[in-house]
Amino acid sequence: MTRLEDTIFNTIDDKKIEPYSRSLILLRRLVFWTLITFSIILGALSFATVLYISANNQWDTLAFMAEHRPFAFLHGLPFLWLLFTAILMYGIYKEIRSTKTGHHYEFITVVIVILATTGVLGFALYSAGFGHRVDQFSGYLPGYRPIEIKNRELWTHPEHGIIAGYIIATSSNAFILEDFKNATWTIVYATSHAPIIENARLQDQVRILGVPYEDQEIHLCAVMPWQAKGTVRPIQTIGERKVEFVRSNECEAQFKLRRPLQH
Amino acid sequence: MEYEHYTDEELIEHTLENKEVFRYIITRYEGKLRRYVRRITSVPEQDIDDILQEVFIKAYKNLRDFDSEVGTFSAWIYRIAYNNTVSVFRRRSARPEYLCLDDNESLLETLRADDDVLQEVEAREFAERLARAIARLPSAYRDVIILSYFEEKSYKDISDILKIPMGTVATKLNRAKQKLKQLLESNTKL
Repeated sequence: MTRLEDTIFNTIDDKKIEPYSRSLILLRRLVFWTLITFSIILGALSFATVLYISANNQWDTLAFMAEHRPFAFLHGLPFLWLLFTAILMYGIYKEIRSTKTGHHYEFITVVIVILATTGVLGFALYSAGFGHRVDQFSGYLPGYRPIEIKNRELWTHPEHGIIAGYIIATSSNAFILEDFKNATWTIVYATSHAPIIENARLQDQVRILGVPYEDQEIHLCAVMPWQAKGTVRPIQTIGERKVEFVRSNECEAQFKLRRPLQH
Repeated sequence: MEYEHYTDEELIEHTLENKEVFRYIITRYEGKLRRYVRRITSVPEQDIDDILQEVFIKAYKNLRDFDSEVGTFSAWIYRIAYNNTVSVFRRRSARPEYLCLDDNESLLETLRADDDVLQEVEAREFAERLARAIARLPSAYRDVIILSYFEEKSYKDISDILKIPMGTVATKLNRAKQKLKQLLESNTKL
């Protein structure tokens, strides 16, 4: 019997050390795998939020607003969620690596599996409206503004002819728009936009780029649907997605279009 | 009952019924683990005893967590020893400056066969230089060299002990040998 063997057995006897029971080992494994599952779901939810914010970031029209909103290009970039997703993916990677057989797989294999799982699950959750829910729920956090709120703020600049809201009445060459602050605006449109507006329904949500005039009047340069992808409930809006500008000098001047519109 | 000839797995099974059998596991691994710990750290002998005590008690507590389908008991207990030792030398910055070669003529033979670097050098002198060269290797390379040549572990066991893929073990071992060769062939005083 060696000295070390004696010391070990004295410690085992003195402290009444026993091998951990099978149920405790199973419980430990269960907790560990629950943690991994939870991390994967959280990572997918975070990625769903990245998708939701990216899908609703208004990048199709930000270029036209750059003159009035110099840092508009930063709008809707989901930095926080991308960072959160990356941190969670790293956590999942470390957790998988620390399993009994996690080290048997090459780095690239583990990374691809994590990316694919998070990507597919994240897309499914985004399609089911969970990205929207998470973004909205995060609005309760101090300093966090959901993309919906940011978009509404971005599109509430009637002084620059940038406005969004609900169509509440239509006539032959104009319609009434109620913005998100409940102010009403008369939007006068040219014949080129008539086919779009005539197809619009009351309560459709739209975005407007135009030239502001007095008496709450705006001359329409472009009309687009209010973007609402991956939302819990579909939002009623017009069908056209293309940004169709009215070919006029005042529109060209108002939005400092890089290339003059072709007449 | 005579347990000397039992396999590790059989000893574990019997230990779970009679803790006295654990003495055979200690006897079987004390020497090997002591040499291994001495090779990967430069803590005093007393501290090595403390490390080993922790290793065996941790192994005893977690005996039911050992899964023979995943790897060997030897790799499992070496993994515990490696983790404990690393955490001790991280706390104390006790990285080895010189590697204790002990009775490792087999290592010299292996390297001789592998690299043919011993042709013109006296074996003992070379062993001294080799020990210093190994100690100067980055820890990731030193770990695989020690496990492969000193502890004579298989790639699978090294993979389980260091928790890296087997492909990485092979790559690291290859690079470690190249680095060792460079160190030994350079004029740097070792």
